[in-house]
Amino acid sequence: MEKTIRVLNAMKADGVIADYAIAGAIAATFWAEPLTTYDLDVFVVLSPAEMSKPVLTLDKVYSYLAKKGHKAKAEHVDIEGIPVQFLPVYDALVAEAAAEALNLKYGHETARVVGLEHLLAIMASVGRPKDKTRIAQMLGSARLDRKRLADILCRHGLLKKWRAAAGTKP
Amino acid sequence: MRTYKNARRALQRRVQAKRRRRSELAKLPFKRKIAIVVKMQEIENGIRRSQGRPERPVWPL
Repeated sequence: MEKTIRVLNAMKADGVIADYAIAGAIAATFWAEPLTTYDLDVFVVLSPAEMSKPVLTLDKVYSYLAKKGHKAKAEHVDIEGIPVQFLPVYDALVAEAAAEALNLKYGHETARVVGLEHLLAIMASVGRPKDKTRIAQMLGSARLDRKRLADILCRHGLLKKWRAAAGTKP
Repeated sequence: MRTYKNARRALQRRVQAKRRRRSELAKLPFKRKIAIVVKMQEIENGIRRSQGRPERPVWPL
């Protein structure tokens, strides 16, 4: 895991990406109880030059990693034994979550991790059955800033989706 | 009637204990939690193996 984070940080330092933020089950595991997962979901913020292109691709990311010996397999890239799934920031909520991600120490590395309230809002916006389960698990074990969550949900028009996913007010 | 009451109390104690346990797990250091994730991957692979389903990669720690 530490080696994988080192590669993510190198991608940022080498200018391949502008920023990144770990999301999904591993971000949830940081904030709450451990969750089963097999891949590491990473939001990537591409450089302004890449973002201005008519079609967003992760070609630069994949070719950089291939040169470093990290092979792509289906939707993942194997980085030091961990299947990593890269997702470009795809809406305002995810862009904000990546921009406001927290720096977290992991061994000798510092990882960028999506904050708890943003993570819950993203789960509500996606709304798959497993997201609903994870929301319930996280509400039961994580320490949450409900005011911050309500603010995020409100600004991104997700209050209805939150009620549907969590079965409660934020 | 008393039996139901006792059963309900026992159930409530179990639920509370589970909630406590989950809060304790949430407070563990991140590195320790990742070790638990890896352990869960190994356990799930054992189940997959017994069902003849393809295994998934277990993360190196």
